Amino acid sequence: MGGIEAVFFGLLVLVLGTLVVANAWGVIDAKVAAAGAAREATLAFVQAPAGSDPTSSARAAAVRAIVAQGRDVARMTMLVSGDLARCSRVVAEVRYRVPLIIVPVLGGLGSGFTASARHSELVDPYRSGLPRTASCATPR
Amino acid sequence: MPTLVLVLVVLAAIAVDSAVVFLGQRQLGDAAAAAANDAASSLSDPSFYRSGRVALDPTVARRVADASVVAQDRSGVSIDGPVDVRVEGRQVCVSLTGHVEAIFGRAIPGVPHATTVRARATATAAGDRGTAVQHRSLC
Repeated sequence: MGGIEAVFFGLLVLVLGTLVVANAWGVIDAKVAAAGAAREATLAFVQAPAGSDPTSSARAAAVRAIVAQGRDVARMTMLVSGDLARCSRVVAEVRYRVPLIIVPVLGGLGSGFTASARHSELVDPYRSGLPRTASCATPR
Repeated sequence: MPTLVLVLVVLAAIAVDSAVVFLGQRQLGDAAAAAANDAASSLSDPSFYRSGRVALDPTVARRVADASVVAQDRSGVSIDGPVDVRVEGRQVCVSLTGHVEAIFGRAIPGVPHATTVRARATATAAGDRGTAVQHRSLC
Protein backbone atom coordinates (compact mmCIF):
# COMPACT_ATOMS: atom_id res chain seq x y z
CA MET A 1 0.00 0.00 0.00
CA GLY A 2 2.86 2.32 0.91
CA GLY A 3 4.35 1.72 -2.52
CA ILE A 4 1.19 2.91 -4.29
CA GLU A 5 1.16 6.12 -2.20
CA ALA A 6 4.75 6.74 -3.20
CA VAL A 7 3.84 6.26 -6.87
CA PHE A 8 0.92 8.72 -6.57
CA PHE A 9 3.10 11.27 -4.77
CA GLY A 10 5.81 10.81 -7.36
CA LEU A 11 3.34 11.40 -10.19
CA LEU A 12 2.01 14.49 -8.44
CA VAL A 13 5.51 15.92 -8.08
CA LEU A 14 6.24 15.02 -11.71
CA VAL A 15 3.10 16.71 -13.09
CA LEU A 16 3.45 19.88 -10.98
CA GLY A 17 7.16 20.15 -11.62
CA THR A 18 6.72 19.59 -15.35
CA LEU A 19 4.04 22.30 -15.55
CA VAL A 20 6.14 24.82 -13.62
CA VAL A 21 9.15 24.13 -15.82
CA ALA A 22 6.99 24.20 -18.98
CA ASN A 23 5.60 27.62 -18.00
CA ALA A 24 9.08 28.99 -17.35
CA TRP A 25 10.37 27.50 -20.58
CA GLY A 26 7.44 28.98 -22.53
CA VAL A 27 8.22 32.47 -21.28
CA ILE A 28 11.94 32.14 -22.06
CA ASP A 29 11.19 30.77 -25.52
CA ALA A 30 8.79 33.65 -26.20
CA LYS A 31 11.41 36.12 -25.00
CA VAL A 32 13.92 34.67 -27.47
CA ALA A 33 11.35 35.00 -30.27
CA ALA A 34 10.48 38.57 -29.25
CA ALA A 35 14.17 39.54 -29.10
CA GLY A 36 14.71 38.17 -32.62
CA ALA A 37 11.66 40.01 -33.93
CA ALA A 38 12.72 43.30 -32.29
CA ARG A 39 16.19 43.01 -33.80
CA GLU A 40 14.84 42.27 -37.29
CA ALA A 41 12.29 45.09 -37.03
CA THR A 42 14.93 47.64 -36.04
CA LEU A 43 17.28 46.60 -38.84
CA ALA A 44 14.44 46.74 -41.38
CA PHE A 45 13.52 50.23 -40.17
CA VAL A 46 17.02 51.74 -40.34
CA GLN A 47 17.74 50.09 -43.71
CA ALA A 48 14.39 50.98 -45.30
CA PRO A 49 14.73 52.83 -48.63
CA ALA A 50 14.42 56.61 -48.45
CA GLY A 51 10.86 57.72 -49.09
CA SER A 52 9.32 54.40 -48.10
CA ASP A 53 7.29 53.65 -45.00
CA PRO A 54 9.88 52.29 -42.54
CA THR A 55 7.27 51.30 -39.96
CA SER A 56 5.61 48.94 -42.43
CA SER A 57 8.98 47.39 -43.27
CA ALA A 58 9.72 46.96 -39.57
CA ARG A 59 6.31 45.40 -38.93
CA ALA A 60 6.72 43.00 -41.87
CA ALA A 61 10.19 41.98 -40.65
CA ALA A 62 8.91 41.36 -37.12
CA VAL A 63 6.02 39.26 -38.44
CA ARG A 64 8.41 37.22 -40.58
CA ALA A 65 10.67 36.62 -37.57
CA ILE A 66 7.78 35.57 -35.33
CA VAL A 67 6.33 33.25 -38.00
CA ALA A 68 9.76 31.74 -38.59
CA GLN A 69 9.85 30.84 -34.90
CA GLY A 70 6.52 29.02 -35.29
CA ARG A 71 4.66 31.61 -33.21
CA ASP A 72 1.20 33.13 -33.50
CA VAL A 73 1.38 36.64 -34.99
CA ALA A 74 -1.92 37.58 -33.32
CA ARG A 75 -0.22 37.43 -29.93
CA MET A 76 2.46 39.91 -30.97
CA THR A 77 2.38 43.67 -30.58
CA MET A 78 5.11 46.02 -31.73
CA LEU A 79 6.02 49.61 -31.05
CA VAL A 80 8.67 51.49 -33.01
CA SER A 81 9.99 54.92 -32.06
CA GLY A 82 12.36 57.09 -34.07
CA ASP A 83 12.52 58.63 -37.52
CA LEU A 84 14.15 57.52 -40.72
CA ALA A 85 16.61 60.41 -40.57
CA ARG A 86 20.36 60.49 -40.21
CA CYS A 87 21.58 59.86 -36.66
CA SER A 88 18.09 59.08 -35.42
CA ARG A 89 17.99 56.37 -32.77
CA VAL A 90 15.34 53.81 -33.60
CA VAL A 91 13.97 51.59 -30.85
CA ALA A 92 11.65 48.67 -31.55
CA GLU A 93 9.85 46.93 -28.73
CA VAL A 94 8.08 43.64 -29.36
CA ARG A 95 5.69 42.12 -26.85
CA TYR A 96 4.42 38.57 -27.09
CA ARG A 97 1.61 37.23 -24.93
CA VAL A 98 2.36 33.73 -23.66
CA PRO A 99 -0.67 31.57 -22.90
CA LEU A 100 -0.74 30.38 -19.32
CA ILE A 101 -0.66 26.73 -18.43
CA ILE A 102 -2.65 26.41 -15.24
CA VAL A 103 -0.82 24.50 -12.56
CA PRO A 104 -3.13 22.38 -10.38
CA VAL A 105 -3.00 23.18 -6.65
CA LEU A 106 -0.80 26.22 -7.29
CA GLY A 107 -3.51 27.67 -9.56
CA GLY A 108 -3.26 30.12 -12.43
CA LEU A 109 -1.57 33.50 -12.34
CA GLY A 110 -3.76 35.98 -14.21
CA SER A 111 -4.33 35.70 -17.94
CA GLY A 112 -0.81 34.73 -18.93
CA PHE A 113 2.61 36.28 -19.24
CA THR A 114 3.90 38.91 -21.61
CA ALA A 115 7.44 38.50 -22.85
CA SER A 116 8.92 41.71 -24.18
CA ALA A 117 12.18 42.58 -25.90
CA ARG A 118 13.68 45.81 -27.16
CA HIS A 119 16.38 46.56 -29.71
CA SER A 120 17.92 49.84 -30.79
CA GLU A 121 19.99 50.94 -33.77
CA LEU A 122 21.25 54.23 -35.12
CA VAL A 123 20.34 55.31 -38.66
CA ASP A 124 23.54 55.56 -40.69
CA PRO A 125 24.64 59.22 -40.55
CA TYR A 126 26.13 59.00 -44.05
CA ARG A 127 23.13 57.50 -45.84
CA SER A 128 22.01 59.43 -48.88
CA GLY A 129 18.47 60.60 -49.46
CA LEU A 130 17.62 61.09 -45.81
CA PRO A 131 16.97 64.35 -43.97
CA ARG A 132 19.22 65.88 -41.34
CA THR A 133 23.01 66.21 -41.22
CA ALA A 134 25.50 63.64 -39.96
CA SER A 135 25.54 65.34 -36.56
CA CYS A 136 26.08 62.18 -34.51
CA ALA A 137 29.34 61.47 -36.26
CA THR A 138 30.97 64.77 -35.34
CA PRO A 139 32.22 65.65 -31.84
CA ARG A 140 30.14 68.13 -29.88
CA MET B 1 10.10 7.04 -7.01
CA PRO B 2 9.35 10.52 -5.55
CA THR B 3 13.09 11.02 -5.15
CA LEU B 4 13.68 10.04 -8.76
CA VAL B 5 10.97 12.41 -9.94
CA LEU B 6 12.39 15.19 -7.77
CA VAL B 7 15.79 14.64 -9.36
CA LEU B 8 14.16 14.90 -12.80
CA VAL B 9 12.44 18.17 -11.85
CA VAL B 10 15.70 19.60 -10.49
CA LEU B 11 17.46 18.63 -13.74
CA ALA B 12 14.69 20.33 -15.72
CA ALA B 13 15.08 23.43 -13.55
CA ILE B 14 18.81 23.48 -14.29
CA ALA B 15 17.98 23.18 -18.00
CA VAL B 16 15.68 26.22 -17.76
CA ASP B 17 18.39 28.19 -15.95
CA SER B 18 20.85 27.25 -18.69
CA ALA B 19 18.37 28.60 -21.25
CA VAL B 20 18.12 31.84 -19.25
CA VAL B 21 21.92 32.17 -19.32
CA PHE B 22 21.87 31.50 -23.08
CA LEU B 23 19.22 34.21 -23.50
CA GLY B 24 21.31 36.66 -21.45
CA GLN B 25 24.37 35.82 -23.53
CA ARG B 26 22.41 36.48 -26.71
CA GLN B 27 21.10 39.79 -25.39
CA LEU B 28 24.62 40.85 -24.46
CA GLY B 29 25.89 39.78 -27.91
CA ASP B 30 23.10 41.75 -29.62
CA ALA B 31 23.89 44.80 -27.50
CA ALA B 32 27.60 44.57 -28.32
CA ALA B 33 26.89 44.12 -32.06
CA ALA B 34 24.49 47.06 -32.14
CA ALA B 35 26.94 49.25 -30.21
CA ALA B 36 29.79 48.32 -32.57
CA ASN B 37 27.60 49.03 -35.63
CA ASP B 38 26.57 52.40 -34.23
CA ALA B 39 30.13 53.29 -33.23
CA ALA B 40 31.43 52.40 -36.71
CA SER B 41 29.57 55.44 -38.02
CA SER B 42 31.70 57.80 -35.90
CA LEU B 43 34.03 58.81 -38.70
CA SER B 44 36.66 61.41 -38.02
CA ASP B 45 36.02 64.43 -40.25
CA PRO B 46 39.49 66.02 -39.72
CA SER B 47 41.18 62.77 -40.71
CA PHE B 48 39.14 62.53 -43.89
CA TYR B 49 39.31 66.17 -44.97
CA ARG B 50 43.03 66.60 -44.21
CA SER B 51 44.42 63.31 -45.48
CA GLY B 52 41.54 61.62 -47.26
CA ARG B 53 41.85 58.72 -44.83
CA VAL B 54 38.74 57.05 -43.40
CA ALA B 55 39.25 56.59 -39.67
CA LEU B 56 37.03 56.52 -36.61
CA ASP B 57 37.11 59.16 -33.90
CA PRO B 58 37.74 57.19 -30.66
CA THR B 59 36.04 59.78 -28.41
CA VAL B 60 32.85 59.90 -30.46
CA ALA B 61 32.89 56.14 -30.96
CA ARG B 62 32.98 55.61 -27.19
CA ARG B 63 30.16 58.08 -26.65
CA VAL B 64 28.00 56.49 -29.34
CA ALA B 65 28.71 52.96 -28.07
CA ASP B 66 27.79 53.97 -24.51
CA ALA B 67 24.52 55.51 -25.70
CA SER B 68 23.75 52.42 -27.76
CA VAL B 69 24.27 50.02 -24.87
CA VAL B 70 22.03 52.16 -22.64
CA ALA B 71 19.27 52.00 -25.26
CA GLN B 72 19.33 48.21 -25.53
CA ASP B 73 17.12 45.77 -23.66
CA ARG B 74 18.98 44.49 -20.62
CA SER B 75 16.12 42.87 -18.77
CA GLY B 76 17.71 39.43 -18.84
CA VAL B 77 21.27 40.45 -18.09
CA SER B 78 22.96 42.99 -15.82
CA ILE B 79 25.99 44.69 -17.33
CA ASP B 80 29.02 44.82 -15.04
CA GLY B 81 31.51 47.63 -15.38
CA PRO B 82 31.98 50.12 -18.18
CA VAL B 83 31.63 49.41 -21.89
CA ASP B 84 35.06 48.55 -23.29
CA VAL B 85 35.51 50.28 -26.65
CA ARG B 86 38.72 49.93 -28.64
CA VAL B 87 39.27 51.80 -31.87
CA GLU B 88 41.99 51.27 -34.43
CA GLY B 89 41.83 52.98 -37.79
CA ARG B 90 38.30 52.38 -39.03
CA GLN B 91 37.59 49.35 -36.94
CA VAL B 92 35.92 49.34 -33.54
CA CYS B 93 35.60 46.55 -31.01
CA VAL B 94 33.01 46.64 -28.23
CA SER B 95 33.33 44.23 -25.28
CA LEU B 96 30.71 43.77 -22.61
CA THR B 97 30.64 41.75 -19.41
CA GLY B 98 27.51 40.99 -17.45
CA HIS B 99 25.87 38.48 -15.19
CA VAL B 100 22.62 36.55 -15.46
CA GLU B 101 20.61 35.66 -12.35
CA ALA B 102 19.30 32.11 -12.15
CA ILE B 103 15.54 31.53 -11.76
CA PHE B 104 15.43 28.12 -10.10
CA GLY B 105 19.13 27.92 -9.22
CA ARG B 106 18.63 30.18 -6.22
CA ALA B 107 16.58 27.45 -4.58
CA ILE B 108 18.94 24.60 -5.40
CA PRO B 109 21.97 24.21 -3.13
CA GLY B 110 25.28 23.97 -4.93
CA VAL B 111 24.04 25.67 -8.09
CA PRO B 112 25.53 29.15 -8.72
CA HIS B 113 23.02 31.99 -8.29
CA ALA B 114 24.49 34.04 -11.11
CA THR B 115 26.56 33.31 -14.20
CA THR B 116 29.02 35.72 -15.77
CA VAL B 117 28.59 36.22 -19.51
CA ARG B 118 30.81 38.08 -21.95
CA ALA B 119 30.27 39.34 -25.47
CA ARG B 120 32.30 41.30 -27.95
CA ALA B 121 31.64 42.54 -31.45
CA THR B 122 33.66 44.22 -34.15
CA ALA B 123 32.52 46.58 -36.87
CA THR B 124 34.56 48.16 -39.65
CA ALA B 125 33.60 51.26 -41.58
CA ALA B 126 33.49 50.31 -45.25
CA GLY B 127 33.92 52.31 -48.40
CA ASP B 128 37.61 53.19 -48.36
CA ARG B 129 40.24 51.77 -50.68
CA GLY B 130 42.36 49.06 -49.12
CA THR B 131 42.07 47.85 -45.56
CA ALA B 132 43.53 49.90 -42.75
CA VAL B 133 42.96 47.14 -40.22
CA GLN B 134 42.85 43.42 -40.76
CA HIS B 135 39.47 41.78 -40.49
CA ARG B 136 38.45 41.41 -36.80
CA SER B 137 42.02 41.95 -35.62
CA LEU B 138 40.95 44.09 -32.66
CA CYS B 139 38.90 41.47 -30.80
